[in-house]
Amino acid sequence: MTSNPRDPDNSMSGSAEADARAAGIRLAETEREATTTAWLEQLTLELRLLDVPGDAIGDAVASAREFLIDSGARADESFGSPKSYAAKLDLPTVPLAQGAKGNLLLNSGMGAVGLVVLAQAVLPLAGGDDLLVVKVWMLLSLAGMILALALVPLLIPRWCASVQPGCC
Amino acid sequence: MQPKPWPADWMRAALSLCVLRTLAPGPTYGYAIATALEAAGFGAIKGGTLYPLLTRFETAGWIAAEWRPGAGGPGRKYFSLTDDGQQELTDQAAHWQLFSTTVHDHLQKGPAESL
Repeated sequence: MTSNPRDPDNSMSGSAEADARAAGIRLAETEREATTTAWLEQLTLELRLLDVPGDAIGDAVASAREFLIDSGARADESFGSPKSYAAKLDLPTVPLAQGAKGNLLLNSGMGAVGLVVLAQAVLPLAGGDDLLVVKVWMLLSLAGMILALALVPLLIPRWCASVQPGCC
Repeated sequence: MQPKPWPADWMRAALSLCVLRTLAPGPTYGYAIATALEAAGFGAIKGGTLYPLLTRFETAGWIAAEWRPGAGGPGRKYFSLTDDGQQELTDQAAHWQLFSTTVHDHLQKGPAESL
């Protein structure tokens, strides 16, 4: 059982009572700090999910921390939930930079070409390249690969929505 | 000290102008703005209400922000009115005065006049 520092206790000397009270205050303070830290971490995460740039996230989190330290208020009482506060701040977001988009396309493109080449090479490697079955396999695998690539833009949003509803 | 909290609708309408006015004397930081507004009789202003407004003003170019190191503690973000913000405050304050007078005059009318 923990002692309540507000309880009058006649058996306790004055200084012991003051110590207990100070310990109680320290305990409450530590708990509030832990809650604040967890809340600020959650805010960081929510702002990241909104594609807010890193410097703006740092700024928003530091401002909230400053206000909470100054006011001594609880994070959820003063700012609401991290998710709603992140939305209320309405900070500008970063679209994928042109260079980053180019790199992404290049990497994915090389990956796709590699896959096609691999699929084309597997059967001839195993059984020579004169057979009719090899030619049919080459045609089929090429057509399959093109179809799969064409379907990717359609499938990704569906998969994404099934994993996290409302994300796209 | 007001007897009960102002209706949320009224606060929503008036707060942004009043926050701008609080910045007029010179650069100040979040909690100081909230304290000044509370002292002026607006009641406790939450961080979740104040900072989105300040962010909006910063985006609009009405205020500029600057981090200043705290004495022994963490730094504070100070906000100051820009020239555009000063102009906005002057314009909005004049407009609000007109609105306030309109509301007041309307409320003062007797039943016969308002028909």
